[in-house]
Amino acid sequence: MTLLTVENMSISLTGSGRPLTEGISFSLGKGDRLGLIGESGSGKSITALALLGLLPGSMRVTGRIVLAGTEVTNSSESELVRIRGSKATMVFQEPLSALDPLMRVGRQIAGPLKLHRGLVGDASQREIRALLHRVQLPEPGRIAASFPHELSGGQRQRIAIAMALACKPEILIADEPTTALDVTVQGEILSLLDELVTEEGMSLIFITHDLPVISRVVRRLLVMQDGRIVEDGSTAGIIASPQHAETKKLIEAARLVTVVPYVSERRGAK
Amino acid sequence: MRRYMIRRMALLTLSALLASSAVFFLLRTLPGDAALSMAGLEATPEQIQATRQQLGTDKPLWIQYFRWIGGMFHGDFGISYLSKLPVAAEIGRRLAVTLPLSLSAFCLATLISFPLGIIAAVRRKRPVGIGVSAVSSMGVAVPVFWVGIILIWLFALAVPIFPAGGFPLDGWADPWAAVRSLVLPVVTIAIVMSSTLIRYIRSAILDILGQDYLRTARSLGYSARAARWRHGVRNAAVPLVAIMSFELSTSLLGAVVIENVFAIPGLGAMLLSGVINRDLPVVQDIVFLITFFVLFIGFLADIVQRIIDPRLRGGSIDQRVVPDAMSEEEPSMGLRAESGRSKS
Repeated sequence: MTLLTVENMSISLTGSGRPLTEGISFSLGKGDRLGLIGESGSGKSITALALLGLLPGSMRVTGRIVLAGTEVTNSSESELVRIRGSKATMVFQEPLSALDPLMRVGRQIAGPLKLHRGLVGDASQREIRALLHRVQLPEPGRIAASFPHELSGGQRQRIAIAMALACKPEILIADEPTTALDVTVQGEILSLLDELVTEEGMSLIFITHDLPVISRVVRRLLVMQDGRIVEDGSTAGIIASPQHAETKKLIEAARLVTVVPYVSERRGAK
Repeated sequence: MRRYMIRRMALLTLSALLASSAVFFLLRTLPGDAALSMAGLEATPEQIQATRQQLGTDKPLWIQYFRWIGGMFHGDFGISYLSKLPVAAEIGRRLAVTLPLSLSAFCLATLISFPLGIIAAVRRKRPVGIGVSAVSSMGVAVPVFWVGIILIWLFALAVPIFPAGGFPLDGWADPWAAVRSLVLPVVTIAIVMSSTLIRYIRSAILDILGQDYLRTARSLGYSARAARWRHGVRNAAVPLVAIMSFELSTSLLGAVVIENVFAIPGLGAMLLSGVINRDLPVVQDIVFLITFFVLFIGFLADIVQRIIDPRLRGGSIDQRVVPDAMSEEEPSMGLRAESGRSKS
């Protein structure tokens, strides 16, 4: 069963000739896991936003995006509001700015629970605790009463994942969910996402510039460069015999990461 | 939070003390002897000495200072050199004019600026929004007394609806007459204040509209409007509290200036005549009261901001969130993630 079809999608800034992405096509079935990989500015993130109809007003989309039977490109905002969350939702790169700094995280999770599942009061509180448990956060009572700035980066990203889970989405779009995190925490968040996607039977679109990260979670890869898909295939196949120069570059970069000794890696990080 | 309140209150007291001593000692550096001019030209040295004793100016300066501060705690603001009457009573009478004037100007400015500021932010690319921004930018450049003069010309001379100036001698005994004479000065202050306020509100709201958490809320299924209500209002309140507190102080200062344009016997007129007549008790009392008012508003704003924003609670004492009014930066909308990646 196909949940998402993208056909010949191009995104451009209104009033500017050069497209930001061009001729993007792919489809996603139930339980599929798709990786979008490419350098900064290759158009991965705006592709993800376009899938939910969340691009800023200054950008125009042409082509077709069909999400759970709804034409995203031609739909009114109120139709899109109905499918966002329940059909597909997103986890963003920066967990700190993605959360409301003035709202306790428990309440932030309670929002989508009420919106999509009508849970309020005790039922909502129980579900918040259950969700916090599922994203492997200790002391759910204390965490739920915390503000985002009182949590660590990894904990914040777990909250963002819990908020996404609260919607019970069919597709989870993770836009560089580990990029802003420490290397050790990255691994934990990846395993968590992997586990949750399997348990919930969700489909996953995972966006990153980091090949070692993406190869741990997805079986199929789309390599993007300058707004175009330059290579499309199974993760194992692409790593074994990359066709495009860009793909070779990403693989080379990944090799370097594993080879570079500890000390200079630290210097590079700071 | 309680610890912060105590520290902040200590800071308020310290600033008030510093301000009072600055006001007091700076005024004492002025040349001249009040007792000499009060006793008159033909006074004998004994009479002058007696006047000095009566005024308390024969004592060392620091004793005079502490007498002044101590007196203010139980409502004794000293005696005017000129009228020989208690300053406190006169200030009370003047405040009955100046406070209504500045507070209604502040309220009117708020009522004008919030809707217009929001329109200027939300419709920033439409003619309405651009128009509001342009007019408010012009308003910022216009001096308050000029607006006053234009309004007098329009609504007191060309079309005589309101009095050109003055205030009923019997104060608020005839409320309608009192209100009528305050309309033009209130509108004058409100117009000038709104111009600044609209720009501040626009920039604060633009900043909030570009925040990532609004996009998160929308990705979870909230409509843009619902997301703004759920997350935007509270977040916008933090900078807006700073702006409003600043403007509340400005409204009092504006009243002081505009009273002299409209010949209104308020605190500003009293201050001006105090300065002209070298009536030091009057000048130091009013300057200190206005300073204290400004300090106190800042104190309240700091407390309110900390009630709204938990991030400020652990922070240092001088942290107040003030948006950059002159920033013309557009909100980046969904593009933060894209540009932020270059850091990694």
